[in-house]
Amino acid sequence: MTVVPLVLLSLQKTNMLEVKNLSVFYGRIKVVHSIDFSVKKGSCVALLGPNGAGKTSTISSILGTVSSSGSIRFLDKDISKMHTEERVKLGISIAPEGRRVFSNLSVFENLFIGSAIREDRKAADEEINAWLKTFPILDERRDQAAGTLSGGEQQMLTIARALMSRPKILLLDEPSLGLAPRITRQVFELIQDLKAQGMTILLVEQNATEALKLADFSFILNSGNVIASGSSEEILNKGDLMSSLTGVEA
Amino acid sequence: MDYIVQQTLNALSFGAEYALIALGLAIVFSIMNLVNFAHGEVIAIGGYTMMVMATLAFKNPIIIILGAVLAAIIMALFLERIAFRPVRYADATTGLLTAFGVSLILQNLFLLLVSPRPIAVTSMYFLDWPIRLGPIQISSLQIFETLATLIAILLLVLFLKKSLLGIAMRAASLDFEMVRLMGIRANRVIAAAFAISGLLAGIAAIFIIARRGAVDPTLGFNPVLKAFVACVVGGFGSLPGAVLGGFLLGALEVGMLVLLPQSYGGMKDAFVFAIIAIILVWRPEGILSPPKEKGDKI
Repeated sequence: MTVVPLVLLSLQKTNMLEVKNLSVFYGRIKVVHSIDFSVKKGSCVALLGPNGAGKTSTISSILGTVSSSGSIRFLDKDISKMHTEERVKLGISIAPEGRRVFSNLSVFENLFIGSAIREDRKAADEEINAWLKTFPILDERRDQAAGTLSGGEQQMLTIARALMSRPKILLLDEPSLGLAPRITRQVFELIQDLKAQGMTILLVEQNATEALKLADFSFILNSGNVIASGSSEEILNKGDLMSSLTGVEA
Repeated sequence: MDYIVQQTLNALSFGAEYALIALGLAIVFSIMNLVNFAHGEVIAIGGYTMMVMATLAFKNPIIIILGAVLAAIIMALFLERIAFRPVRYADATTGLLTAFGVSLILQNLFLLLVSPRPIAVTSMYFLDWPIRLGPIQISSLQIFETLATLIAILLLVLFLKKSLLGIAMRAASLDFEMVRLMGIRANRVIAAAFAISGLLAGIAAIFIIARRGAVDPTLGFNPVLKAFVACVVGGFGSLPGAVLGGFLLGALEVGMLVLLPQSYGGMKDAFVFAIIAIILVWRPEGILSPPKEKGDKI
């Protein structure tokens, strides 16, 4: 190998996820227009923006559940042509919008299916028990259908389920959607803990104030374009931008 | 007393056959939204395999049974691969029409390549002998059929509750994409559903052949129509519903034969379907229709 590619490689190393020229389509309709962004290992990056900005489309394209063009590199591998299942096996996991717990499965089965790609059954079972200890309400409902949980409990279960696969990057799509303020705070505390443990996180949120508290770097989307990016301070300083986009007073 | 026991067994064995076939339809439908009318031809393949194996001088009936079941499983997987996978993400009607097309093609192939007439297959007769219980005489075949069905249901429940693939199949009946997002390959889940439906079709083929003693191109088609009715009554897509619908249909058919005067015998189906229509007025989605996804609490 020559020296030049090695240098390039080491430069790229810091970016765990690198998205370039990404466009997302629903049929013929283009909803995301050639955007670029990246997520560094161990950082928390937020995608912010109003309804219909293309946040969920962007995050879905990373896992390949919507059709897209452009390059998506994860751990220096182009994953844009891979099947969804292969991308998950590489270490990408999602807690999707609307939570999507398997409401017909028990709480335990939801966590169990989250660990589907793992070979180390024993460690996975211990991890399930650890999650059940962390959230006693989940332990109480261990063998009940997950559909009987409240919205906040379902959100915790969704995040725990996503982590059961031991992902290298966690995609969180609107984790605070439809939750009471007290529950929202709990969810963000959980994300804060994960970040402190070194988890790489890509967070999609409408609740910009909370998201900016967590994020190391943010990209603001509107109508499928990145219209601004920067650290939380830089975004907060652009007061006009914040208030016009998200209705949050900076 | 004699009569009641015999008729109850009749109802149970008919019901068991419908339940077996209905389960095969329901397990594929619950995951793929595909009404697999070609399921009957998978049963027929089981029957033709027995015929071929018997002609090839296989004497051991156990080997013939295993061969037939294996052939049905392979056929089901083969149909999924060549016919249903290309239309997997298409409209439900496309899948339905594909299934009808596959069914017609296979029936005509049997007709052209084998024979339009029934061909005797006697290797399953050994399952049927009279059993005397005091004053009552019953048929062993009916007991075998009911027991085999109950065991198959039990094993299926265990599989769906305890194994990862089984749990994934239940999850996929609700949200297939989310199952893929857990890293579980879609092809694997769907192949498992078809393999199970093939296995159930193979078991059904054994008992159909044991009772009829002959195979013809429409061997499976008519039972599948009945099983389809059983699925609808039980709640399409619900596995317990398929079983309940199957046994209910069996009980209704035998019940009508017993209750209707001799001269009305030909009207049996009309009465059975009238009762089913009334049940559907009461529960339009079937008795045990799966709960509608009401969306998440937002």
